[in-house]
Amino acid sequence: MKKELMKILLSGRVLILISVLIMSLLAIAPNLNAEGLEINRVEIDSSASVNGLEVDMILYSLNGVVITELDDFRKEINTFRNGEIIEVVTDSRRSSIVYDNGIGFSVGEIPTSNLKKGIDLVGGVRVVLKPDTTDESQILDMIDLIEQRLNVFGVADLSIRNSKDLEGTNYIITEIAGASKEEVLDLVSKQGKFEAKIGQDVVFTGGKDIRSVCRSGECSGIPLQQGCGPTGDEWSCQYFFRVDISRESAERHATLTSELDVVNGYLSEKLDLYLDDELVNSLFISEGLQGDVSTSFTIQGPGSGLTEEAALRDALDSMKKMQTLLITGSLPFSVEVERVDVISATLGDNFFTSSLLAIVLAIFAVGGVIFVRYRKASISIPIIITGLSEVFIILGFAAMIRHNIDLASIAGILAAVGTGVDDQIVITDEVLYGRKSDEKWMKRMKNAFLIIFAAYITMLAAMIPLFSLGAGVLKGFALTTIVGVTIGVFITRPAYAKMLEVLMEKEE
Amino acid sequence: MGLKSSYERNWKRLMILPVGFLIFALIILGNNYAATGDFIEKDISLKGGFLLTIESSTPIDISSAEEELGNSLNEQVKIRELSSIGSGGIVGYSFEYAGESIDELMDEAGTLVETTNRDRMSIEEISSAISERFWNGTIRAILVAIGAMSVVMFLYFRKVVPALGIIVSGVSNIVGTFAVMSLMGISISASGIAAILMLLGYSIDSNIVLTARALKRKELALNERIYSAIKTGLTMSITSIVALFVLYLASTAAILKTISLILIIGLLLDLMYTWIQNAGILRMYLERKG
Repeated sequence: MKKELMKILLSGRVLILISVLIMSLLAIAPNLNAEGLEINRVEIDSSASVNGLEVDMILYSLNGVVITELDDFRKEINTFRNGEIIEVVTDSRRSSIVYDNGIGFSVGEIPTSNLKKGIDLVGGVRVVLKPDTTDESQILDMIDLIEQRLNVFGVADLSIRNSKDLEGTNYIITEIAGASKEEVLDLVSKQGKFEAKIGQDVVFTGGKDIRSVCRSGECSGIPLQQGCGPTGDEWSCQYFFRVDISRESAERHATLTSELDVVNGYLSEKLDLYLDDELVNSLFISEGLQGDVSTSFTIQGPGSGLTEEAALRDALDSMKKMQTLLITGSLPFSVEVERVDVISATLGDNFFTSSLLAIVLAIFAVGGVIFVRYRKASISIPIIITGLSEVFIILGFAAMIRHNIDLASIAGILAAVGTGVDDQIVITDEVLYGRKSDEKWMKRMKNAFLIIFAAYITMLAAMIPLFSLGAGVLKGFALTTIVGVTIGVFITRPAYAKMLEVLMEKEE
Repeated sequence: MGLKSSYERNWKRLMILPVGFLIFALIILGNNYAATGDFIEKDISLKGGFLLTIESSTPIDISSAEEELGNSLNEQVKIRELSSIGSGGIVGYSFEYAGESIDELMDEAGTLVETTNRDRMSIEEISSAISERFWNGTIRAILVAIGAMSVVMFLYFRKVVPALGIIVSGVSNIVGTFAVMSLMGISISASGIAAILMLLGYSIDSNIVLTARALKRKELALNERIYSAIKTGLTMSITSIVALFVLYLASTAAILKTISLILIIGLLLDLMYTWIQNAGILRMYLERKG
């Protein structure tokens, strides 16, 4: 038995499986000792944010009272009065903040791994918006735009619906997963009308005038050398990114700049960037660009914070927001934020753990049925190992690409593992049949993998349209299924076949 | 071997079963469509409804409250807790409800969270436009998926009848499952759609095994090929059904229970569609070809 085990462990396909399992473990990075609370939201302009509290800091105590659980936090906060000064101790600083109808930040449990959970599993933020229109088709357009904005910004896990109260006022209800930052709220609620002007004349606007916005490291980011520096007791950084604008806008730029004078190597007017009619930045135009039908511009903007790191993060966040608004353009109407609440999960706290446990149990049940059918532990144990590995690798992959695991993903895991078991049965039967008819190993495997490949390609053919056309829930399902089945066909099933080969050869 | 010989004698007659069931299923779904405009009842996640928000700071147990309200209003209610970003404390609850008795909902939900003052409640109707769009998009995606699968099946087997047989059996399986769901009073939700898609995958899987064996394992007699496929296919289906049954029992979440229930129904129907209908089609096709 020992000899067979070594043979299995040292075979190429099993080694690949083992290394992928190790990679998944690293990606998930379970932290079993995680205890305590961390800050997951800080209100903009609150006393907490001004005094340097930031997302991801670990909370130790409030006014000297040690806080380890959400209940402690809630209980303690109930004792505070408006105007009271509260001493907040976190892992990185000690701050005194003023309590003003709220403490200005919220906390959540420190995650026990890199697995991110979806809005239906951990809740999120619900923003109720009041659009300045009553036309439902325009509201639907706005919903599309908001959704597109959030997707461009990198928020995939969201739900947007519109509603009407009894008086006929329209609302848009947006729900976003997990610990969303204030920037996200900005993206949802800002009309986002971007204009680049010279004097009173518009050169280009966000959306339709923009051909492309650079988001890669070569033409966007923060310059290494001169990007950041201290200003007073704060730090500030400058971001930049390149945009390519349409031909017409470039011609507008040429006409407008050709009328300007040159002062010290720059044109007499600057390129003013406005966001929702507010001047956000003014850029010098160098004399070389005068009258030029230039289609490329570099947009710049600032970020600030108490430390260099905070300023850097602030600048990058602003950059991402600006890029998003430039790509998607403005909403047809302005919106008002009616209310913002943190909402609880639809499926309860332990849904994730309990459903994973249920899936694991189901895999053991599969092993049981297989044992009854073939009467061989040497078949059912490899099937259990393969099934469990698939679940683990899918989770690892989700952690790696920072995919939010939601109900649909769990259904996808189920689908992938289910087809996996089917395929293993096909392999097993082909192998056993081949044994009867004296077929060579290669031939038996070829037969099995022909069927498996046909099933795989069919699955892909079904899931790819679902992934690209389907909305919300189905996208997550299609993604997890595609990932799971691909891992199965290329990693776990070949390893299963190898295990079976060694164990069966021993018997033959 | 009584079973085998009676199958040998009756396999053509047996095919009345799946065809009859398909007609029965179509009648049920058509009847639903005529009565409600939808061929199957959609749940709150797909059809919209009312959203009631109540200010309250009373802690409640959400899942038992959902059950209680669901029972007394005879319609699913989804409750979410709302808390403030500033302090983290509970500030209210939102209730999503797909029924009509709004007054009753306000009374019962209000009592539950100890806020009966209507001034501290707000009610809105969730527009069905977005869910309508989601539903239409889903149907379109599923049709494209079925089309793409047919193309792959045709390219793989290079023969029209066997490829068509697989798709027909997959689609009849889904139609049949919808009908059984409707009879059992299970309404379709977004996750139910995921289950239906999984089912399509499983059903195609077992049909591929059957067709590949029947067409490619030429050294055996035709009925032997089909028996060997049945052996593998039954192992696949029984394993899946047992695993789903365990999932049904072990999972605490209603949603996972519904998914496994839909899959169990579908896999049972798949036994008939694959091993009676599609096996029959293949046999007729191969016998005619000699």
